[in-house]
Amino acid sequence: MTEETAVSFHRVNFTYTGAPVIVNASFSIPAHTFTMIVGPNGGGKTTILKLILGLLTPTRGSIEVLGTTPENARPLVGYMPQYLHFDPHFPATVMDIVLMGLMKQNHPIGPFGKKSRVKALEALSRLGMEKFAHRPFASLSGGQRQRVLIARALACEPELLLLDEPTTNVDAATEIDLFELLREMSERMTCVVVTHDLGFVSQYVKEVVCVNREVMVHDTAQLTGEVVTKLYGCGVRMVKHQHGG
Amino acid sequence: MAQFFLDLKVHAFLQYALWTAVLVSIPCGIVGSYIVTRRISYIAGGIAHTVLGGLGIARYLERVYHIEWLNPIYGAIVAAIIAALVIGLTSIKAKEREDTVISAIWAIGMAIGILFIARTPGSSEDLMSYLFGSILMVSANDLVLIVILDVVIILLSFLLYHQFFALSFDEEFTRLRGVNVAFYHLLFIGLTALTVVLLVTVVGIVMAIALLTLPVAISGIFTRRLWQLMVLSAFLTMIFTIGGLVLSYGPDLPAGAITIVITGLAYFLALFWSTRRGRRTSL
Repeated sequence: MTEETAVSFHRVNFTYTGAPVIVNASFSIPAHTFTMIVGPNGGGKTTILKLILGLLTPTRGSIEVLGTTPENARPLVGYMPQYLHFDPHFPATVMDIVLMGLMKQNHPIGPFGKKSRVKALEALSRLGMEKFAHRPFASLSGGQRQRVLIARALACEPELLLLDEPTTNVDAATEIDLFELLREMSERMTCVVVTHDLGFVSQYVKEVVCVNREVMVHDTAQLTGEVVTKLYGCGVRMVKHQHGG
Repeated sequence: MAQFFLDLKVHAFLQYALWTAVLVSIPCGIVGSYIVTRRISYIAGGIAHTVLGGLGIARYLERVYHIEWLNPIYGAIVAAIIAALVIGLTSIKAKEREDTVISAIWAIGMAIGILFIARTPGSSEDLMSYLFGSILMVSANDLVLIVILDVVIILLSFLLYHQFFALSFDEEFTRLRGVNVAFYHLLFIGLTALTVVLLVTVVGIVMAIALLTLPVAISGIFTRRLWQLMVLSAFLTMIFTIGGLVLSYGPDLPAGAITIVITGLAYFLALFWSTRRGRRTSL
């Protein structure tokens, strides 16, 4: 594995209680790129992310992340989950939540220091959320919460950033802002975004990883209707967005 | 009520009872806040009822084999820790069986307790005090033990606040940050067990769960951060337990039961008030 590869799958199969979810996947994601993982619902996109995170183990094959095993790479990986696995009314401020991103193995006992708070604020300000630092998390809108969770993923200054459907609850303008930000950040870190929304893909990335049990990597230039039809099993509206000036 | 304050100066047992109410409220508010936000009050319920087994066995050995130093609270601690380990390990290794395991040790613990109490001469009044609390029976020795348990629970929850916070908020993310989630989960269930033992002296096995959860539910209406929730819950618990003690003393009613009635009334009043005001109840 070279320095230039952030993630590589080698003949990976994953079976969940009998049914194959991922079949014979071999691909790699180059470092310092902005890559999208696309595919139909239930096609295995989130499974690919969980395999990269080491939350799932391949039934066959091997995965390398940042030159090591998925488990060992975790401290350098920032992650934003698709579903909020928590009580939305949990009593916590935005700051409390972003600070979670700075936890580490053998986390020291006692309160977070000033340095950590500064780092958390920096992560929030990258997403334009620093004004909300002391607001209750429960009082935010869906899109604001999503940005806080992205800030939490960014707080540990990761080398690999994994975002699972970050644009589900946001309007088109915010989505464009977010993709612009990710493209800019991909100069420093590898950004991998899972999305079912093909519309915007070609504007921001050179390559897409298409997942529907099988995994294929496509150049966005050759992402034709034919490829998409094969991927989704039916025709999908392809929108070429033009953003002038 | 005035009688209580007159007698408080004279009777040591009333002073011990008052100290117990104050000391038990603090860990109750802290641990209760986690229990309510993580929605695991059934775990605390399971541990509380299993404690009867430990109390029964310890009392039996003390009375029948004349092991004088064997305070029933020791039995309660051992039973609570065993219950915590069994439930904690089940929730880590086989989450889908957690419910059944809790029901099993809940009932087995109580059955063992009842059997030993039946074979212990003159201990049927003990059963009542275990089930419904006996804050007026707290001795100076008990109070020392309560202080030690208090210090352990408060210190650990203060030092490990962020670990427990992260675990309660988002377990998967916490695991991905490299934190040993299983270890902290077990440690937390252990702290819950110790808190339950403390509560058994105040309100008894049956009502412990109410004192762990209801003050937190009330506080949730007024607070926006976890530590605020803990502080306010501890304060309210203190008011309810002291209130129960004071109000039950004159008419010679069971203090534990009065405490729970006050707590329950306050809970429904708060619920009614927050619904009327249209305030979002967070818990």
